[in-house]
Amino acid sequence: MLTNKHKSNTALPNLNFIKSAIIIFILLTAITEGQTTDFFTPQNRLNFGNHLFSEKDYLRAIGEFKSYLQTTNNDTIKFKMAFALSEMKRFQEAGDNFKGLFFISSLSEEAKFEFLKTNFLDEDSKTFRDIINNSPFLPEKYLQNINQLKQISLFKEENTLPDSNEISNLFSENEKIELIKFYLRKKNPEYKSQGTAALLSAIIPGLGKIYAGEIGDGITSFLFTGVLSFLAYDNFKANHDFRAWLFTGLAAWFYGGNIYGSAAAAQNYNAGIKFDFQNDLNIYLNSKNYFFPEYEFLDK
Amino acid sequence: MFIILLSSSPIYCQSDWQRWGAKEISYELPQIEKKNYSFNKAGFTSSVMSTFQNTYYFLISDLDGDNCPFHPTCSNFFAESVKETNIFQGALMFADRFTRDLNLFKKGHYPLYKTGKFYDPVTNYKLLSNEIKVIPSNQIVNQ
Repeated sequence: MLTNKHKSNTALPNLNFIKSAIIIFILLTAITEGQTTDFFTPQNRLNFGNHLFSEKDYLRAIGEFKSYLQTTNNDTIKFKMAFALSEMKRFQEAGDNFKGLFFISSLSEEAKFEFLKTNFLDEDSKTFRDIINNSPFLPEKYLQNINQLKQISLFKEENTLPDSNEISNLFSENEKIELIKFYLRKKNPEYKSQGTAALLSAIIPGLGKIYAGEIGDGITSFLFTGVLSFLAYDNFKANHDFRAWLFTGLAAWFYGGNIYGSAAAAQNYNAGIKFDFQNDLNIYLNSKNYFFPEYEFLDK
Repeated sequence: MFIILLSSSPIYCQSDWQRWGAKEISYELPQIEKKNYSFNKAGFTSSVMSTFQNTYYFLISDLDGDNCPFHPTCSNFFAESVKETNIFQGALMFADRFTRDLNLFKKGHYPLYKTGKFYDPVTNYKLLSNEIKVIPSNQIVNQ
């Protein structure tokens, strides 16, 4: 028994030494590995840039792509960088970057189309159409998309309408139905006449406001002008001339203000109709991605 | 000791702990609009308007407090509308604004200024369609 005890006592220090050695080994490797791994290789920066791009974190993706392009020439990454700038609404820079891919590039057609798209999103509609009409760099592959954009750009202007035949030819059945609805909305807007609003308020105070959709304001105008008129009448009746003329003046002032306000309300109503049209159109076009093609290579 | 060292070493390997793109939030209260007591001597109408405006500010508005639910306030709206149009059109615009102020059911009808007041600029009532700014109701305006 003594011999066995003696044996086990002599084996323990060796076991502790091995345990300590293993822990120190793990500790040291963790530190050394942590310090020596180079996270900033071009491939890592590209991978991280692609991840940021897919997360729509375009600003930082551009930073990573720029670092990658310092070491490698890659048209896809150049395209992605320009595309990211376009998504960030930095259209001028995006356009310049797309121009760099116009020649000797496998993405030449896409770059030309995206260049026109930046102009569509950035410039006013007329300038965009002038660019299309005068540009020597129209991409053959995307001519239908360009014609679609050209027709849609006519919706964006105040006094122009797209050609209904062109809408029928260029778009699919479902798109055609929606676009014809917008076409009719723009062709026959439900405007209110300023003259009618003013005239109605001249006949019955507040009626013009109600006609222009401001029901609460119309009722208030009717009551307020009515109260002032009654006070004027009542004071005349009681021979309180000063007060009577004071209320007559106030009633006339607010009566006139109501006629003016009704015309302004009709004008604001019409501005609201235009705003709603553009807003609804933008929502629809956004849902359709402005009929832009989706590039598979952007997801890689 | 070993566990602390072991766990702390990977933590120190990562140096960038700040979240990217975070925006600093300010809890500072918005500034209260200060009244402009300057006297405008540009012409007869401006001088008369300045006199009335400053008298109103001094005798009524400063004592009454910041109670107008609109931005610009009704008195500022009157002064601005006269400045941007003329005394007759400005007077009609003010009469219309005052009537709209009396409407008890105006909540939810106007966009909101950053101070929480209803945003109702003079430009929308000058009868110039190209100057009208359409802002959806309840949207906050920060200009």
